[in-house]
Amino acid sequence: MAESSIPTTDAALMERVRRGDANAFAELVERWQQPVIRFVYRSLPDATEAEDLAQAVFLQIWKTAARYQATAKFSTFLFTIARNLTLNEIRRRVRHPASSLDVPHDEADPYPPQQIKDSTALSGVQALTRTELISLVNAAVAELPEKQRTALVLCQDEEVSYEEIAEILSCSVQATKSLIHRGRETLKSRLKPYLHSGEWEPLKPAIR
Amino acid sequence: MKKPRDPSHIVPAWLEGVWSGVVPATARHLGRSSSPHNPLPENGGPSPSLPDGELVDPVLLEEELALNRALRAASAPPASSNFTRRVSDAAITESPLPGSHGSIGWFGEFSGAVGARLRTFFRILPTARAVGFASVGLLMILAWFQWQGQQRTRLAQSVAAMAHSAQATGSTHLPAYLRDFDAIQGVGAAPRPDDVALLTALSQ
Repeated sequence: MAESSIPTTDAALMERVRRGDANAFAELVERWQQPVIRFVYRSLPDATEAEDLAQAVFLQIWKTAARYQATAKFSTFLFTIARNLTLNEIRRRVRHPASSLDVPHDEADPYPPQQIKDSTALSGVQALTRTELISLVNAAVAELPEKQRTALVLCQDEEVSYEEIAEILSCSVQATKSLIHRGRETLKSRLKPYLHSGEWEPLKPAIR
Repeated sequence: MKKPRDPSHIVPAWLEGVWSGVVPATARHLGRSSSPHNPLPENGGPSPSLPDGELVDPVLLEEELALNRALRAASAPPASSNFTRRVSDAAITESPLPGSHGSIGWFGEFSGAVGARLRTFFRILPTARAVGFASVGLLMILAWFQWQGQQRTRLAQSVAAMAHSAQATGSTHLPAYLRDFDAIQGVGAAPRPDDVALLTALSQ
């Protein structure tokens, strides 16, 4: 009974996953699903697509569990796989660009219909403004060079250490800091007109 | 007066605490006892400073914090409630358990060093198989060339013997066709018995 109250480390869970323990795998998924989805979402800002790709990341973890060495931090292993799969997906999209069949619209129409996310917590105008702003931020992040985006997102969203980010990106710690700095500078310059719109939620402590 | 420093150079280092909400940024870093959500000094107040005493440009600092707020607001929505179950089901359906019988047979039951070695062996089995097939193919090609060489040597020896016999009978020139190994090979490598008898008689 006392054993169950001790939080199991990721490495211990992975060891169980290596032996084929599906419950340990489910626990890992439960623990890391939100960070992985957040990470993928920064590159592919669509909730459904981010979930699908996050699922692929966890399936890859399951398949390659035997290759995991306990000497490496699990998050490094996880985010390396997430990064590789996201890059593959981006490359696939560049090679095979898809167009939606659901909403056919006139190519000449300068204002094609847009799908707006429903945000019931806010009034109509507020929701529209906020949704637009969020889309702008997401687009700006997604347009960053891949390494800058990965470094910035891991540092900002997941609070991953510089050393770990450097390992994931296969570069030096100094280069990692430089990537984060350049990413932030690019975002600030692109989003400058919107940063002081007053629409952003107040700064909250991260819940981890 | 000290020139305020661009905070973007040091933000990743000292804003870490602010992001996680652990460090009371305003009190520790900005020298004011205000809310961490509003870390800037009031109008006319002193510029915020870093722990090493360097001044920070309040406008740039506000930009950094606004960017953090924007990024946080634009974060991904929460995962579906059935995400874990969906992933677990997909994992079990799409691929057998990593250490199960399906992946490496009954050797999966071994534990410790022996088990690890066996698992490694069976993991690399497809590669080893491919390397094995390639090696066997290479050996077969080498054997074929070796056999061909031996055939030609035997043929050359036969031709030499014939030439020697021809010289013994007084003929000074070797017939041209006897120099064509391939033509001879086409006729047949082994001399017929009557030819051998004739050559023997001639040599005597």
